[in-house]
Amino acid sequence: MGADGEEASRIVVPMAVEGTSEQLAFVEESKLQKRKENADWAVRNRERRAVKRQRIRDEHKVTVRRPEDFVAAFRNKERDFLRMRTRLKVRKQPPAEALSSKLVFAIRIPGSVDLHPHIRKVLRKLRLTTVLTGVFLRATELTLKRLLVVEPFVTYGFPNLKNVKELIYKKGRGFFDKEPFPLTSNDLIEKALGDHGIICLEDVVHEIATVGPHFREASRFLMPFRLKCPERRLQMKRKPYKDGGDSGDRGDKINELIEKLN
Amino acid sequence: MPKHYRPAGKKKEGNAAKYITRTKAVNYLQVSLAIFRKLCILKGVFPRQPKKKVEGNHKTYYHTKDIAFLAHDPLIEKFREIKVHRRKVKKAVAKKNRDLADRLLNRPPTYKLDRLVLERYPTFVDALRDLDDCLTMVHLFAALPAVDGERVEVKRIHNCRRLSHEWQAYISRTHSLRKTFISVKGIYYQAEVQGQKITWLTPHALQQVLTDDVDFNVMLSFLEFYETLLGFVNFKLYHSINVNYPPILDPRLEALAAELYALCRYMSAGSRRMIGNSQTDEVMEDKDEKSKAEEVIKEEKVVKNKASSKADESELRLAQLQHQLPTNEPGALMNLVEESTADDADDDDTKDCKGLFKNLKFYLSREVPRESLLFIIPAFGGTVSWEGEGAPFKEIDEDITHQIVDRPTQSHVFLSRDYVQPQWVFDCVNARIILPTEGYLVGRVPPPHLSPFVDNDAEGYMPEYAETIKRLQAAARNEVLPLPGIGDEDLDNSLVAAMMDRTASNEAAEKKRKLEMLEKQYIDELKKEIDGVAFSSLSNKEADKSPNAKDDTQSDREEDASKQEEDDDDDIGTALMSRKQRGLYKAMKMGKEKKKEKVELLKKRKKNADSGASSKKRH
Repeated sequence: MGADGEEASRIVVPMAVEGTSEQLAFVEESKLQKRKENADWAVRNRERRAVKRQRIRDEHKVTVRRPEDFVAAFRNKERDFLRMRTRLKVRKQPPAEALSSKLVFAIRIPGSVDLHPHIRKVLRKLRLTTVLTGVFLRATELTLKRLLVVEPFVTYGFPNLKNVKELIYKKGRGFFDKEPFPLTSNDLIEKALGDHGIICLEDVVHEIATVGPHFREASRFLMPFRLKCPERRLQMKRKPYKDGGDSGDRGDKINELIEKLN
Repeated sequence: MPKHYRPAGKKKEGNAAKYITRTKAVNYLQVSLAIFRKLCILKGVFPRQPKKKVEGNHKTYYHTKDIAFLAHDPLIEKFREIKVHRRKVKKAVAKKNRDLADRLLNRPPTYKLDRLVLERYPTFVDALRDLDDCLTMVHLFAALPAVDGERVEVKRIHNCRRLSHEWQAYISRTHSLRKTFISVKGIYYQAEVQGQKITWLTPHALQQVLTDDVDFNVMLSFLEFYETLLGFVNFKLYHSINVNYPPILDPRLEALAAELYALCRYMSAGSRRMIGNSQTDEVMEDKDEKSKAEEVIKEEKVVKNKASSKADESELRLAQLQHQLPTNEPGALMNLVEESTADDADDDDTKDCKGLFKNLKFYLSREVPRESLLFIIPAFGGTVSWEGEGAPFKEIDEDITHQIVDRPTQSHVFLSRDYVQPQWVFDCVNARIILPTEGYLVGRVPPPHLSPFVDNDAEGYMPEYAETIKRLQAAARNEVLPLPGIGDEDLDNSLVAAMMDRTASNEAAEKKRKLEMLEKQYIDELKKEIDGVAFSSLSNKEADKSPNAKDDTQSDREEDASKQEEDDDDDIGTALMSRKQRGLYKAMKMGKEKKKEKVELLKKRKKNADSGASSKKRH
């Protein structure tokens, strides 16, 4: 005990040049240790996450699928296709001008992964290829028809300005020069959309919220928004919302759903 | 850990009894390390540094009484319950017993931290003193996205956003904001609440990117406590100005992303109702008439807006009826200014802040940081509006005095208003005067943004723009500062004149006349600067250079003589000191030299910047 104390008291502060009284700048050893530990933890954390992701992928690859699974998947695809055709024939959707808003936000909801090729193609056109992603769309006849085609896999509605702003500010990712980037600076936005008079993040919000003349460019600039899975997993039934399910047209109630996911 | 009784000679004594290592503490409490960390954060327990580390230098030590303090807290039992509950849910899910899993998830064990707030902060002032970290953390999480993988919940982020807006609305309402500074990290604010200075940092209104290198578990534990603390503080502060808490906002303004404005309206309505109750019946009659007029207006609106959705109307009516919110009319924010004049029980600082932007009307363009300016401008008595629905007035309003813009081209320019960059507002706030807008116009590079948290006199270096601001402040107070250095020269002249003959006294008289001429010129320059004349001052400065050069030679000779005297004095003084005092004196000297080197570095940078600017001008 005493020896340790004496050694501690004898610590010599390094000098710049022999004979002078100047001190070199130094940091305490405990602080340096803490910094090293933090750096090591960061490295370990990154590796742990990568291992976890790889394990999830491997589990999917190794799964054994039985012939009944393929038969059931095929039958489900056919049934979805027939239901889609019936929906298109029977459903009379109102004209686009009669809707309360021209801005539509569509969210891909969790469901089956076995999609009919036609439905998958339409989802790709809407850029909703991943579950729990959302995009802004202009409410036109063509868009509404497409949403009707993919109704069991998508929910959509009319967002208000608050949710538009929060989505773009918090979850927005720009797409420029074939690469996504976070919207942490106005310079890249000006480079990408400056020709259309959009020079900052607030301009993007304004263009999207008011469905301005450059809505298409602004919407294509924003990548699909990745939304957070809620704490208690939603039922996400494939029945339409007005029939007690979770898909289809929600109208203004989409705002409640967005607040849960954003 | 402490035993109840041990005979003499077998007790633990000294540091071995007072301090305990982390491993032993965790073992004693029978919780996991993560829960131990969370408990320490919530209870305010932190590691200690004993002088004698009994079990080695590499371990973390806690005070034994702190660990006993943790052991007796009900939270430990609650955390154990939570762990058991999670295990039950996991087991039910594994057994495919979905009903049981749902039932368990519907009844999770919860806990409250209210008792901890009262425990750690017995008086309100104690809580205010510790509010810096709390506010910074809450404002940070209000700007973060809720991302999968991290345990940042959506509810928590919305709660932080609400709390930060409520805090800002209170500061704006009571005009307690004192300083602002824009830095790379974000925007710093300083407010004075009940005598305590509170400083916090708000991130910029851009996207925040989460990295893998941050351990969010610790931050979330701190945030959990800070949310509760800020809720209590807001409750107390809102009730001190007779406003109900928690506030209920106008859902329409909320949907239009104008929460701060909705909070301001709620506060003005709440305080007005309180004031109304305390006054006489005549005022009640006036209020009845106003309410009748409002009813008529509502009926007209109902007739006009038949096509609008009924649900929104019913919600809005419920909110208005419950709290008697005034309808959203143009110029509704003017009531805030009118009411603010009625308050008399304010200190001088608050009065200064209240009157800075009084009678000024601001309009914010789309690209400027709206939330920040919506917070600052009403805090200093100004009226502010923005582009979009729900705003109190529109861009075409001719009473607007300033439009805050940050865009190279404008769609339409009104002649009756000034177009300034956002930095002008921040610099006016820090200087407490209305600065001339010439340097901040669109397309110009604004003057340097100086930090209000730096004391220039203590630093020993006064930036050029700080001097300009000082002169403007003095002019605003109808004072004229003397030329720098006049006092010293007067003293020198008076000393020298006593030793000179007639011819020397004549030369001294001529010098005084020249100094008086210079002083008059200086005052004229100051007046021109206030008026905003820029180029004439440059020519005047060039004229000033030549007389200064003549004075330099004489001052050099005097400096040489004074240096020798100073050295002699130092030697005599240090000879009488003891060794300890001499060392202390040496350390003081070194500190002063370091500070001087800093100042020299700043001056050198200033010279380089000036030479660079001048070379650019030549090209």
